[in-house]
Amino acid sequence: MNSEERFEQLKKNVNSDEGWSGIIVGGSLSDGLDVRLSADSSIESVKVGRLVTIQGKSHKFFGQVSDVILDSSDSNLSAHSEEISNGMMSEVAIGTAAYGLIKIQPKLSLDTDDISSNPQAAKTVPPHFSTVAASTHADIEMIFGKEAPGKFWIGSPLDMETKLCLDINELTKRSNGVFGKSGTGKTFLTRLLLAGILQSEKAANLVFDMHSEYGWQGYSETANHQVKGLKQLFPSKVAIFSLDEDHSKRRGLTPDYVVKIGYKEVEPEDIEILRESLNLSPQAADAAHSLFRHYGKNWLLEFLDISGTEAFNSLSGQLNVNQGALSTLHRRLREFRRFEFMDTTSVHDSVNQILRYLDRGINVVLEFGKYGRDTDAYILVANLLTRRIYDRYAEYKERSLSGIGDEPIPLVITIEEAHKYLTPELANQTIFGTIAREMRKYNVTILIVDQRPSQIDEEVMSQLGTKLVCLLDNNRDVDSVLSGVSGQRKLRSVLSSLDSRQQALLFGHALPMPVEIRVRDYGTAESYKSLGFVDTKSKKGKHQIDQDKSDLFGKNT
Amino acid sequence: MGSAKQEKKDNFSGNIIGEVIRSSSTDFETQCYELYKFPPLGSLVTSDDENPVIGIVSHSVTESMDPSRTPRPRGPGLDNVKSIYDDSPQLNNLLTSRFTSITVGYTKDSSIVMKLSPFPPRILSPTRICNDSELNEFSSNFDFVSRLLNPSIGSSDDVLAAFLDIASGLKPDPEQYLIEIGKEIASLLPGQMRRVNLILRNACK
Ligand SMILES: Nc1ncnc2c1ncn2[C@@H]1O[C@H](COP(=O)(O)OP(=O)(O)OP(=O)(O)O)[C@@H](O)[C@H]1O
Ligand SMILES: [Mg+2]
Repeated sequence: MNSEERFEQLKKNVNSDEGWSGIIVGGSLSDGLDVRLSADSSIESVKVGRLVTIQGKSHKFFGQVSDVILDSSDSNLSAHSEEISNGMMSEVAIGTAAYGLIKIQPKLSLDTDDISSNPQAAKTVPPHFSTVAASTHADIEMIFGKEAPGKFWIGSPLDMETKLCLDINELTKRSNGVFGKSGTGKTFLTRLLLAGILQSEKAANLVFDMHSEYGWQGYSETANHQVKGLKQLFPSKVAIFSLDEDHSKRRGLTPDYVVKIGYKEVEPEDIEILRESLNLSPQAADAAHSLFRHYGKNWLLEFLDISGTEAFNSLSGQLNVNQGALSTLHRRLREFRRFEFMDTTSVHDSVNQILRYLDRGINVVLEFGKYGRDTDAYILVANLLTRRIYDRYAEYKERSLSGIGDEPIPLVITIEEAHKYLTPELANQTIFGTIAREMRKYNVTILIVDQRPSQIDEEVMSQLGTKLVCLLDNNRDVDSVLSGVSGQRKLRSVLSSLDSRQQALLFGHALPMPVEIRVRDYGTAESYKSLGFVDTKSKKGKHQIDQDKSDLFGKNT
Repeated sequence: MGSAKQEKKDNFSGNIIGEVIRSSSTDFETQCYELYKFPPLGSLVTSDDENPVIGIVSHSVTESMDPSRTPRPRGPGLDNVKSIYDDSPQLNNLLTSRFTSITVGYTKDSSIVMKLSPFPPRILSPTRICNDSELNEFSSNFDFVSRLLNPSIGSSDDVLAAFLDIASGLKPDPEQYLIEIGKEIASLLPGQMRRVNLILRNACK
């Protein structure tokens, strides 16, 4: 919106076509404003969570309906309810003695005398009798921005059709999280976010696609059909790597690269992070370090090749490690033999390949195929690759700081099931914990997609810049996503009242104020088109389509 | 007498029912030309002079002209009051009917101003009942309600109810009119819904 348009908008008065309006009659900044609905308002058209605009004297305020109350100026109203509730009298009473009161939480204010100003956190309140009405499309655009490159349409505010946009640049400055219980739409929301990041060209994605649903063919439970993955929408901007080539092929996809991991690439740190999922004691996990010191790079294979009690006895003696711990470790690591993506080649090119694509601004999705059902494989691979990629980014960044080479394009790494390895015990030891705490020091951030945020390390949670939260009903999960956020009590009730699908509460760094949205639709032809997808089939001329039709159905259709 | 004046008289003389005999800023009293020929409680009346003052009839009285001589009962055994008046025409001269109107506005340049008149009606100004179109115009603006509810002017809710009864009868949708004005009353009487209810009940026929 240019400044002239905006000025026009600023001068405009409040919106009245939503069936209600009101005036401020009291309240406070901390507890919210009391707004009395006008006599002709229909209280049923006011909904909690609705964004509202308040016209103050020199500021426009924006806030949110936090409660709807039936109030009366007559304390005896209920005593006389019988006589008053009869036809004519009840009509007289409604809007006069019995009226609707709504509570508004002021969130932002905007100086209407200064066109160049931006919405700021509200530090004061509008005066008595200021008018209040539902925010208009233009108000929403003024607060959250208009759809544009870098401003990604993520959904609409509840009860509105307006496009609500997210500032991708701000978003990717920090690590972020998408939370919600199972089936609430995390994957769909994340896929949209990834598309937004991809389109902005401000950052590149590396997705550890556990369930093989982001890159190529996801599935919609409600629509009961497949939905396109990112590669299908943006073929030239996405490369799909696969850990399970057969699985990819079966789904009609030839992966751009098949990832292999050499046993020699596994380091003791990679075992450390698996401690919980492999159910290893700290001693057993420590033994990996001893083994590494003993055997060197090839420690894992050499260790796995050991068999027989005697061999264990002597190794245990040599390493000075408890034999029980050693054999537990051996038993658990033997599981790696199942991983067909692991082989004895000493150094694979996976990391370089990934970086090669990322360098060109191409997003990389790594599909896990059947290994997506195996948390150990997921953690092992995601951690191992991320650690190396991170090291390279650190290198790039440091070089660019000393004037050699360009700064690397910011990288967003999407990970799932984080509650299994970003736990309070492990967060410090994993590369993901490090990245989350660093705020893009080396241009790398993570995007956590998870259903049990309460099990994720508190510090990691507190470092997430923006949280996009679908319905959560476990109290501890709610506590953990809201910890450190102001106005928790209100947000809490908002969170628990979200629909069970496709609605989310967004708050944090990338948004001027918390907002609940209905997530943009994904999975229809129209939704693909709105993301810029051009269906080559529909490029056929009208004539051709008609021809096809008549070939198929005969002349008369 | 000029012809214009003559015409005016013809138009309204039928409605002229008496003359102002006492007048103040807030109300004025009219003595009727004929015994008992006063307008019903709640009627809209106006003094009919250069500065017409509009009032609503709030109180009526019929009593002896001479306060020292009060009528004596004629009974018992009397079965027809009317026959007494027929038999004693002098009663019409011994008794008098008067009514008080609360000032609710005045007419200036042929439009109604809903405020107290700067000048009370002059004594002996004719008083007439307003016609339907005047009543309709007056009652369409709700500003008068607050005056009638003002406890200091000695009106009662019954006067308001009586006025609304008359005024609503002229409206195309009397009930809607009462609802709208009811809202006005309710907002002027916060916390007194019962009273509002009574007024409206009394205003319904
Ligand atoms: N934005 C959306 N557009 C269309 N459909 C959606 C959207 N969000 C959610 N859905 C519907 O809800 C279903 C569940 O969403 P999704 O798979 O994203 O949930 P989830 O939170 O990732 O679940 P899980 O924890 O099981 O992985 C989808 O299959 C789809 O049918
Ligand atoms: Mg999912």
